[in-house]
Amino acid sequence: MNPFDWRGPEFLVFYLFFGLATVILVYVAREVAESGREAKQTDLSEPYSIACLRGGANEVLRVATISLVDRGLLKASDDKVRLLKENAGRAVLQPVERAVLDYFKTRDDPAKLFSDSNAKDAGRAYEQRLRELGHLPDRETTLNRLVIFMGALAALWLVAGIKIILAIERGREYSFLGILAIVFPIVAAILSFPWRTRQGRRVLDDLKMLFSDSRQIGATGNELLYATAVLGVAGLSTEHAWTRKLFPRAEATGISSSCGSSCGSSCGGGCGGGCGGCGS
Amino acid sequence: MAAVAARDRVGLGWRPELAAGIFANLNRIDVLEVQADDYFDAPASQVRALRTLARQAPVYLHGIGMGLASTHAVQRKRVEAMARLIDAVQPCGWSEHLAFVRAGGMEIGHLAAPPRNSNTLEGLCVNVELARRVTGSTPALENIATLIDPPGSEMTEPDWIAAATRGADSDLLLDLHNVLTNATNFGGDPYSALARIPLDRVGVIHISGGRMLPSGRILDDHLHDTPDVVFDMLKWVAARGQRPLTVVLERDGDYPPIGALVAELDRARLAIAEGRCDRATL
Repeated sequence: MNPFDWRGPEFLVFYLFFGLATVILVYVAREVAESGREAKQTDLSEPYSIACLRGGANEVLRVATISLVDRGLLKASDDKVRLLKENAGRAVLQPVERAVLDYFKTRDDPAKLFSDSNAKDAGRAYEQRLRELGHLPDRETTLNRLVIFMGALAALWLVAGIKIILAIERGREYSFLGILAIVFPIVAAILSFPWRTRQGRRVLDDLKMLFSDSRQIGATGNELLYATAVLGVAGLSTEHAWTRKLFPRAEATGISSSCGSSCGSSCGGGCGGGCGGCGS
Repeated sequence: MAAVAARDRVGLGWRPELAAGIFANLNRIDVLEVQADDYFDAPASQVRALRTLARQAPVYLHGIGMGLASTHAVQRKRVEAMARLIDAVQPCGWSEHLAFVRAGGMEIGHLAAPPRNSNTLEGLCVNVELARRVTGSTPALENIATLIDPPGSEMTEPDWIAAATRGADSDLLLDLHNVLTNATNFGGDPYSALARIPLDRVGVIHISGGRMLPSGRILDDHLHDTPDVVFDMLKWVAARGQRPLTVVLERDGDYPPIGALVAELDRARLAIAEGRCDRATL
């Protein structure tokens, strides 16, 4: 009954179930670990924090740009943006809005806003705040996730490794097992390191639920800012079609709430037009 | 129930259509009133979202389907649903109408004014006691608007409201537009009615607008701006009432820009403040 003595196909089936069980365990273990760490508070009074929770720093920049156009400080013409008033920075309080205005003083391409370090830093400031609130993983949460992932990785590779060594000794085929030994750790990594914490994900889901029937006709100012922060460009009504011309990738990708992980951990700062397809 | 500081508050009925506008103006909205019945059969995710909302602003639950003012026993499942929602959301209070909504096993489909007599009063007291026992808290009872003077009545509306709140030992959710509507529809004076309502039981007030029908009657449809006279009535109540007031603006459709609704809240705030100032001179 020693699975390591099983034939190749039989062992592959065994490893398939073993791998599935492991990644499920990873998901459950992380959820349980994070359910014990309640967020310090659920402060939704800051729309840019909501945008950040949904799609990271790039989404903050996107929402800020839309809000500044809506408020008449920037002018959008198709896919270009220009500053309307040289001293517009005096009319805003938020550092991220000032950074976006600074960017458009000299440039007009919104897609390249995401690679502007000054603007990007201003957007990232909200990530720090969300970490403090427990909506994004802080150092302790990340460490817990790493422990869970490393445990899963060790189990997956130990079992696969033993069988591969045996296969090499016996001159057997092991490439399919090798592929599974790569695929399952990737799945485990995705499940181990989501962009948001469990609490952050729930808050965002709650907001989307609350805003699901929110009217947007005639929405301007803070009302439009909140709608964009929660629903994203793709969630806005056709009345705000100009936002889609500014950020076509956001429209095309539909501002997925589940893309956060690739935004936060993979895209980092270099996805240009909006965290690739993430928060865009 | 969540404990809240005793002070006058002004808020808005939560309507999903207004979500973005409400969030954008939470610094000017002290309280949100949620239609409880919408969540009785809602999935857990919706109730959780409501709880998240309640963490942003105090939430007051408002029921419409119990039919407390009836000789028929209230449906226990509805009271239990309200109890579950109260547990989940932790509102600052809850309310129901002084109305019946079903009879003879049939749902009427709207809030109907009950016969204002001792039998209904007895039924109301039994029903409120059940609600109190199951939910652990007493609902505030709201006066309703009606186009028909309920047959079988032995009391005037103000006397009925006073007897109902006293008998059930409940607070009154005073709907000022309903007072105006009934006074207009039946040839009375709203201030005379207010003068006979026990203001010491008034903790929550509804304001809203309706429309004048060709017959000269008012339809309380909640689709129009709050008329000036309702703000004057609010000032009148604030001048005479001793308790902190929670005023909720009800709007059920034909929504104006959120700024217009918030302006109505500011007006209500001003009316309360003016009324409180006038109190010293009364």
